[in-house]
This record gives sequence, structure tokens and C-alpha cells, in this order.
Amino acid sequence: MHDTGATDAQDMAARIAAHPWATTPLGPRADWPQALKTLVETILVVPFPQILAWGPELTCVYNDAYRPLLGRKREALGRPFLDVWAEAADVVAPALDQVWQGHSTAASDFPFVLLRNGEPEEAFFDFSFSPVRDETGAVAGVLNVAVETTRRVASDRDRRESDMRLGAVLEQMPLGVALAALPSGALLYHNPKAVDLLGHPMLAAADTAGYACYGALHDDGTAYGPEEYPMARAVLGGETVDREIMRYRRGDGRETWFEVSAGRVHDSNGDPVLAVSTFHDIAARRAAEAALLDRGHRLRESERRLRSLIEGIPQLVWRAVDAGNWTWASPQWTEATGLDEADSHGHGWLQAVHPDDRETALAAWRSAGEAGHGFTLEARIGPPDGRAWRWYRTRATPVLDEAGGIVEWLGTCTDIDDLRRMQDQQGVMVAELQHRTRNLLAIVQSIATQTVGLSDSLESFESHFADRLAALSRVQGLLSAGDPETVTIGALVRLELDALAADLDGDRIACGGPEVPLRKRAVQTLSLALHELATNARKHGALSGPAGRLDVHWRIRDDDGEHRVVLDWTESGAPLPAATATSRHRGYGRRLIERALPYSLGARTEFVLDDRGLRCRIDLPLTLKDNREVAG
Amino acid sequence: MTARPLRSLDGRRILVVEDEFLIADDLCNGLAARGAVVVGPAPTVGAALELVARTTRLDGAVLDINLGGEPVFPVAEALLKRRVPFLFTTGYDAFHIPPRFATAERYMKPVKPAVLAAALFG
Repeated sequence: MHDTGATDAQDMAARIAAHPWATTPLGPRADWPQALKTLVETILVVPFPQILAWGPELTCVYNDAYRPLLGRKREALGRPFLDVWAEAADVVAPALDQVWQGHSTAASDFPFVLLRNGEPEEAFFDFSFSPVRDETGAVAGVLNVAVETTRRVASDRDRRESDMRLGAVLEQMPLGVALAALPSGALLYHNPKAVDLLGHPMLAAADTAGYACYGALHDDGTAYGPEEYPMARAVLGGETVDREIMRYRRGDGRETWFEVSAGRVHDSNGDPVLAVSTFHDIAARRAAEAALLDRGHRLRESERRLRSLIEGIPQLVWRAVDAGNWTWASPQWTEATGLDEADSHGHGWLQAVHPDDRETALAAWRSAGEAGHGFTLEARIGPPDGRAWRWYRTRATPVLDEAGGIVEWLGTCTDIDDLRRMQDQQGVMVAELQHRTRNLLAIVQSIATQTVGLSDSLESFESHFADRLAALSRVQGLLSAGDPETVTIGALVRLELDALAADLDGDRIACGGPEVPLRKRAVQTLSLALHELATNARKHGALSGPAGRLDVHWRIRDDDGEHRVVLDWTESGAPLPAATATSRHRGYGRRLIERALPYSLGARTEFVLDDRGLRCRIDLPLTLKDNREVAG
Repeated sequence: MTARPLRSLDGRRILVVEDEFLIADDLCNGLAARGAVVVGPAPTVGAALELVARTTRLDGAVLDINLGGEPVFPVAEALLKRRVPFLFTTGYDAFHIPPRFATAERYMKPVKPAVLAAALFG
């Protein structure tokens, strides 16, 4: 018989019918025992692979289904089983021995290489060896039945492989994975990452109530109820939880934050088979987010403070690039100059600088641009209409990057106008003071010289000089108290009369007149003259004895087209002055009145000393100074 | 009690311009004591200019820079034209003097007649 190709589906019934059984130990088919015939009929109709090995030689008869198992083997019909399966003799022989003793054996998932679809393929079979008996009841042969389990074996293997792959994935995943059974929620598995994240191994939980042992916490620090866990919600309600934030107290007591997802897993029929929960630790992310938020807050806070500072400080603040191209100006700048912020960009700010100071500013920018360091300059700044220039001190500083390159310029302008004015005024005042002092010294020198000339003894000199110095000193007090033009005639008169009247009755002296300010340069000379009059009145005149009186009155005279103030000094009721000894010092006063007052003050004076008493008239011009009328 | 004066200004005619009487008086006395003939004193620019115009012969002048707020420079100008030597007196440190008079000498008050004499006439 030739080897059959595996592809053609042989009709074994036909081949058995056609086989020359007489050449085999079975002998002609017609002479077969009934049991054998029946068995052959049976195996031909049962679709499972079967081979019958009859007789001591184990002669083979097989069915169509068995054919593929034989692969490329030589035609097995009529040949001894152990011959056909010589390569499996080790495995088969013991089984056959068992069968001859009347026992069935079976094996499962035995691998075969079949030639099924023209290609060798691996296949698996469960098979059995069973004794078959003849009419006498003795074991006459072996029935070998094979049931193919290839599909199951393959799918088992696939599933095993898939489980292994899945297992490897789970083991190595950087995500914590937990699996729970459905419908109970019993915990099945935590991967290593989960254990690591939780800080404890999988806890025993036969159902969702067992989740209570886990450490999830609400914001207020209270523990999750077991049904609140995402896994429980997936188990019990089929919920799909997507990335919830969960606060968790780990096994080591440390608190952290997880992002948790959970849901059911379904098979290909759509039935839920498992619940799975995945999670990862977001503590670091939360900390980073919090830090970022905090930094954002602090940055905004810092910006707010900076803005408040810039808006609150009186300085004008600006930013510029290159050599004086402004990019920004603060609100104070606009307030001080009337220039819009945008109009000040580039070199627009120059409009708000006094024309005479613009070149100074540009020159400062040029040299700063070359040298790369800041500068300070003083210039007048104000609205371009030029009606309100004020002096400002401007400071510009370069802002450097890490490499030392200039990124931009930052500048402030400080209003120093008041300071400058005060400094100018101070300068004027200091000069004035020096002048006044030198003047005073010159006058003292003059008085000294004059008094020396009039004195016939040192005692006389000392007393007269001291007296005149005292008068001069008194009037300095009036002069130094503020604006000199506020010294009035009345103030001077009262000053001298007060010095006099300390030891006299109040009703012997009368004075009065309108408030008339005196020109600064008139004050000293007039006071000296009044002092001499007063001294003379006390020593020789109306106040030297008990009976005299003194009247000092002044009024404004407005006639003959002239505007003047007239002061009358009238001493009366005194011992006749003409008869008393006059000292040369009395002449000093007269001289002051008759010569100094006209010379220095443009006064017209009359000095009359007769037996009625002393009458002195001082007639001063009134002129305008700073829109006020002043005398002298 | 008066010192015996040097008569170094004998016959010299000197204009005194000073608005403060006591100082003017003192200066005049001091100059007269040294033999000078005092022209003035004048307290204002106007009065001084009038004296300058009226006086044929003037040998020198003492000018108070600040006459009650009025600078004395018009008088200096007039004297310059007549080639009359003069000097300034002042109580101020830094009174601004026009450049054309920058060479004239300036003395701080109070000023001694002897010093003036030396300054004007060597």
C-alpha cells in the first residue's frame, strides 16, 4: 500500500472493505469473530478518532477521524499497533500491558504532530486505551480512543501566557493597581507599586465592608466609610471613578495624596468580571502646585506692593532703553508734566524738560550710554507750556542681566524745587546777615568814635557807650524777628519808651499813631534818634523831674500832593531845659535828628528847644514797597 | 583821645557815597582828619551823580556798592569816564560786580580811612 497523503479524506469503510485482510493475522473479513466485526462497525460511525488493535499482534483497524493522527505514517491498516507506533513504544507498551490485564488507561493533553491541512501542526489529545473482549469474555484487543483537546490546550496556554504577561505588567507598573472580585468586592490583588504607595500590603477584605481598614481620609481628617472608596463604588454601583483626589494615611503614618480611578472590567460578553482601582501619589505634584500657587500669590502680592510703592512715592519713575528712549512713565510723571504716558515714550519726555536743560539731559544719556553706568543730573521739568517749571534731581541706573549687559534703565526724578528755592533764599539770607553784621559793626564803630569825642572821662564814655549799645541791641531784636518791613513806627517808639518808663508813672508818657511799617534801612537810624531823645528827656528834659510829661504822636499827612508820616515828640512842663546844663551828648541826639534822618531817610526835621520845652518833628516820606506803604 | 592823624590825603578831593549816615559820617571824619576834602557824602545814586557832574576836580571816590537796594555802578561808570580812581565798600561777601569794574578794589565794611588812602593813592 502506498503512503496516503494527509489531505484526502479517506473513506475508511471503503478501504477496510477493500483491504486484503487475509494477509494479516486477522484473516479474511468474513471469518472475523462477531465481536471484531461489531467493533469495526462501531468505530466507523463514531466521529472521535479510534483505532482498534485486535489480537496478540494488535492488528490495527481505524476510522476516518483517526487518520490525521497517523500523519505521514505508512498505511497502518492491518499492521501491528506497536509497529505503527514504534516511536511511542515506551509510552504505549505499559498502557497496553494494563489493558491486557483488563484495565483502561487514559492520558490527557498528549501532544501530537499532525498533518492536517497539508502542514504539520501541533495538536493535543486526551486518549484512552480500553480492553475489548471477544465472545468468551477474554480480552482480545485494545481500543484506543482519542479526543482532541488542542483548542482547549491552546487556549489554556494562551491564557497562561496572557496571565503571565499581565502579571508582569502589573508587577512592573508604576501605578498602584488593586483588583477586587465581583460581586463581593473581596480584594484579590495589589501590585508591588500599590503596596509601596500604601505603605502596607493588601489588607484582607472579604467584601467592601473590609475596606474600612484602609487609610483614606476626608479633608476634615475623618476616615472614609468603606463604601466611599472608589473600588467599593465600582463594585457596588458599577461606578467609573476618574481621577479623584484622596487623602491617605499610609502604613508608616505619613499622610499623602493619591489620584484614584476605579471601575469594573467586563469580559467579551459584556459581563463584569472584576473591579480594578488604580492610583498614584500626587503629593509631590500637589506640593509643586501649591508652591506655584503660593509663588503666584507672592508674585502678585509683590507686584501689588511695587505698584503701590510706585504710585505712592512722590518721585516720578520711568524706564528707558538705549540712550534715553523711554518705555514707560509712572502716573506721577503724567501728573507733574501733563504728558500722557504714551507721549513720553522714545524721546517724547524731552518736551517736559526745560529747553535750556535738554542738552544737559541728552549729554548725560550719551556719556552714560558709553560708560554703562548711571548718572545724576538736575534739570527743570514741568508741563511743556513752560508756565510751571520745577527743579528735579534725576537719577538713572542701569538694570543688568547675569552677564552684566544692560537690559534697561530705571530712573527717578525727585522734586528739589523747594529745596533749591530755600537754598537760594538761605544764600540770600546769609549774605544779608553778613551785610547787616558788618553794617552793625561799622555803626558801633561810629558810635564809639562819636561817644569818645563827646566824653570827657572814661566813666562818661562807658556809661554813654553802654547805653547806646543797649539801644542798638534792643532794636536788633525787632529786626531779626522775621520780615524787617514789619517793624513799625509804633513798635520803635514803644521800645524806647518802655525802656524809659520802667521807673516812671504811666500817665506821664503818652504815645500813639497809626501802624506804619518802616523801611528796613530806616529802622536803626530812627531808633538811635529816638533813643537819644528819650535819654535826653530822662536826663535833662521833661522826665528828669517830677512834673514834666512827654507826648509822642504820629499821623499820616496827605496834603500839598505829598504822602508822608509826621511824628511829633513833645516834652512839656519840665524845668526850663535851656537853663539847665546841656551836655555835649545832648547834641549827639540833635545831630542825629537834624542830619542823619534827612540824610539816610529823606526826613524833614525840626528841633526846637525853648522855654516851653522840647519839640521835635520828624517828617518821613511814605513810599511803596511791594505794594505796601513804608516810611523812610 | 584822638590819635594824631597822618595827613597822607592832604588836599585830595574825595567823593564819599554811602547811604548809612553814621558810617558816612565816620568815613568823612576819618578822611578829613587825614587832610582830604570830602565831596558829599551822597546817600543815593542820583545825589552822587549830581555831585560828580557838578564837581570839577575829583581825585578819588569811595563807593558803597549797595545804596539801600540800589547798586552804585552808574556812579562807577561816570567816574570811569572821568578817569577818577575809586574803590568799593560793601557788607556783602559776594555782591555781583559787573565785569567792567572787576579790577576795582573791594573792601569789607567797616573800612579804615588809612587803608582807603593807601589803596587810592598808593
